[in-house]
Amino acid sequence: MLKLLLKTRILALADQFSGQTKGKQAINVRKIALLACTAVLTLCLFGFLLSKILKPLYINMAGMDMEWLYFAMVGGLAFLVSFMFTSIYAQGAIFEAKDNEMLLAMPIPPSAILGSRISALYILNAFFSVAFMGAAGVVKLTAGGAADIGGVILYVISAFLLALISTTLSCLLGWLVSLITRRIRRKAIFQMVFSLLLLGAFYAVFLGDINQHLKTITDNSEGIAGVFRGVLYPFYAMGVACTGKDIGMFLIFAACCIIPFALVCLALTKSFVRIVTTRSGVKKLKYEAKALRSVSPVLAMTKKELNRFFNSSSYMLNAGLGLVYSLGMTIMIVVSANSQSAGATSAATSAAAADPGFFENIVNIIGTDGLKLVFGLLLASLAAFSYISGPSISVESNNIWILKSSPVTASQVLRSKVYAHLIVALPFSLVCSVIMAAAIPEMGLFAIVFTFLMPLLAHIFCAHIGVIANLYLGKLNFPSIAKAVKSNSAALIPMLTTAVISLLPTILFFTVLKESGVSFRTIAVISLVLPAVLDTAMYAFLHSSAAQKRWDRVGQ
Amino acid sequence: MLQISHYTKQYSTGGAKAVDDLSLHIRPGEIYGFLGHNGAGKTTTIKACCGILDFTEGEILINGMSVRKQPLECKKIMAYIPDNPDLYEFMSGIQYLNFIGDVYQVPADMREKRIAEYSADMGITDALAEKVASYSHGMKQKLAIVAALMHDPKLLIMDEPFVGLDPKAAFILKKFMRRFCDNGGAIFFSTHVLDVAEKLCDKIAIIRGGKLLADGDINTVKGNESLEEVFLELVDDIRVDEDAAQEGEKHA
Repeated sequence: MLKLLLKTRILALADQFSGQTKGKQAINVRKIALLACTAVLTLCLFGFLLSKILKPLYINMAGMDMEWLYFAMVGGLAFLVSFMFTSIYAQGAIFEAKDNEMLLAMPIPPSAILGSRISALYILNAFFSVAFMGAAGVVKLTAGGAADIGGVILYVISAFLLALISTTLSCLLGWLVSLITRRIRRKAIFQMVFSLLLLGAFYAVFLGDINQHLKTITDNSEGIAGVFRGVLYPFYAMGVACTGKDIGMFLIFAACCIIPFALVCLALTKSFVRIVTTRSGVKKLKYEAKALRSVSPVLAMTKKELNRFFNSSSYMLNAGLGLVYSLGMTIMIVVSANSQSAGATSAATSAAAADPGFFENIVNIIGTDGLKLVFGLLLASLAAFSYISGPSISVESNNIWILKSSPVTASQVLRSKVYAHLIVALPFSLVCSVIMAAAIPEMGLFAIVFTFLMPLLAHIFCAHIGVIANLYLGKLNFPSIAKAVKSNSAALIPMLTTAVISLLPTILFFTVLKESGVSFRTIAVISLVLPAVLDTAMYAFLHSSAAQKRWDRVGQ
Repeated sequence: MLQISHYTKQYSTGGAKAVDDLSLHIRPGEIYGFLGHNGAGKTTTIKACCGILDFTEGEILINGMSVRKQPLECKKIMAYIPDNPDLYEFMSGIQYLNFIGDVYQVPADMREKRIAEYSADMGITDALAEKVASYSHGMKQKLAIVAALMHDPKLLIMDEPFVGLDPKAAFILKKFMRRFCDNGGAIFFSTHVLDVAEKLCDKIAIIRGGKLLADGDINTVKGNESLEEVFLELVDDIRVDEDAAQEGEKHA
């Protein structure tokens, strides 16, 4: 039974890559094979990139005769990354899985249901663990580190044991989040904030200056070693075990992984039925009649789209993350521009100082005034990551009958989806533009206008192309909003086209036109005109009979 | 009110016909029951009447207007209640009703009055502040019924409207259906509950494999037999009395 349930979980994982799970045996085998190939390929690529970062760390640590610290730190990193990713997954996959009640109604022991879900979670954790520890091991071997068969075996087992720690903590955190979200009304907002915090922590740890991190680690190796020996003892034990020198430490590490994991499994098995069948602890609201306001059909549908967006953490996180990125990038640019200039030198000079090679090249070609226009282009290109309208027809799914049987035109329906996208995205765009215009020194009128208009037009483009792509390519048979947002090929089109349309004139300028005498300001004007023309054309399309005909075919 | 003429639906070119040359006429004041096994073509026909599904041949007129050519005008005077009430789960009950009121442009005072009246009838008033996601199947069905009545339609098209309703709500719905038609409205609904069809319907149509087997006044169609007997004879070629006799002989 456990095997069958585990196979179902693995197919569900494979489904993330290749669409629906329903199908013949052969298709399922192909899906698992595809998942395995994707995992191996990703492992190799990720491991290769990681080894480039880990090599100097290993050389430093080995030089100080602290090889164990190298393994302990890599293990700690592997734990952090896998924990951040799988704790988001754990809550939905274990405690709020839609098929929990259906499976509990079958003659299947709850422990088997839980076992299959935790096993799937463990596989995900093991993937990260193997990626990090594999790369760390390869680095050691290529850097001339010695290893015997016994040591390699201990190392491999340690890598798989490590995944138990993150699995244990992911289960606990997922459980905690599940308990909290059952007691609050704004569940989606809580889940989104929780996920953003995890993502923020990830970026804070991994997107900093790697060289600076390595230097800090090397300079403070004794202090860090002390922390591992004290607070992070399991990782210390793992580090020593991975050097292949101490079987006793390996056993301690194994106990540190297995005992908490077993205890958590036991606790969850005892309470699994209660956890997954307990209804929301939120007090029921009693309706009290109030005066109702009537609005136009388009506004009503726009409000409905916004309601759906703000009630789904998956929708917000996946389709609206670009808005958070653009805000983050704006702050980074502004901080960078002001940190050295103190208002005296231009933003361009500051940016050039931050990354001399890249920015100096750009400044040489387009000048400091031209560089200020690049900020607007960057904001515009980030609009591609806010593809809110992209899955907006697919998310109608089984609700499509409501719109199809209502006296509304295709134009009204499609425009409401565009408007909802813009209502969410444009305030972010305006705030970013205001921050840039106000905080970057010596922007100039043209650059300020460009910084406002370019992201605005890109968002309008993204909103329209998203709806049109979904109208032509969208499916309605996604089992959930999360699936419709994440696994929807139609959502890729607004991402790709918005980035291309925003940057195409600039790319052409740098690749073909830079010697032609065309000024970058002219390119900026073309960059504005291109999406403006396309936006107008797409807006006209939404009112056309072609859009109506296509809408009539949706759901047939 | 609803005239279906030579309606034919083929899902794929050259494929089997889901519904073949169906013609029905539902007049104002009539409750028209649509009977048939699962997969007989009832839902396909109903969805075509509501403008949700296109069709291959034929014509569907609502109050003399073509569903194909004047869909908006048709939709304004009719309401559809699906067999599975998939409503917007992210909305509260009142938000959903208000949304439907906006889409059908029902004046605010009118929608407040109708929401109060129909929600009380269906016994869902207290739950209107809750999210639809928290509703049971029956409550969703009741909400869908209240929403369908918001714009005071002249034609009600319902697919299995009694599924999931508790006895009180089913009783109220039946009363409402009768009153609705007595006031000049028309109802076209599918059902598997033959007792309800027998007691409630003025006319019935029986369909099998997309083909109309019988239609007309309920008393004419069933004659002296019960509707159940007629239905099984027509749809399954089962002679109920013969079967019962054979069964009796076996036991003897």
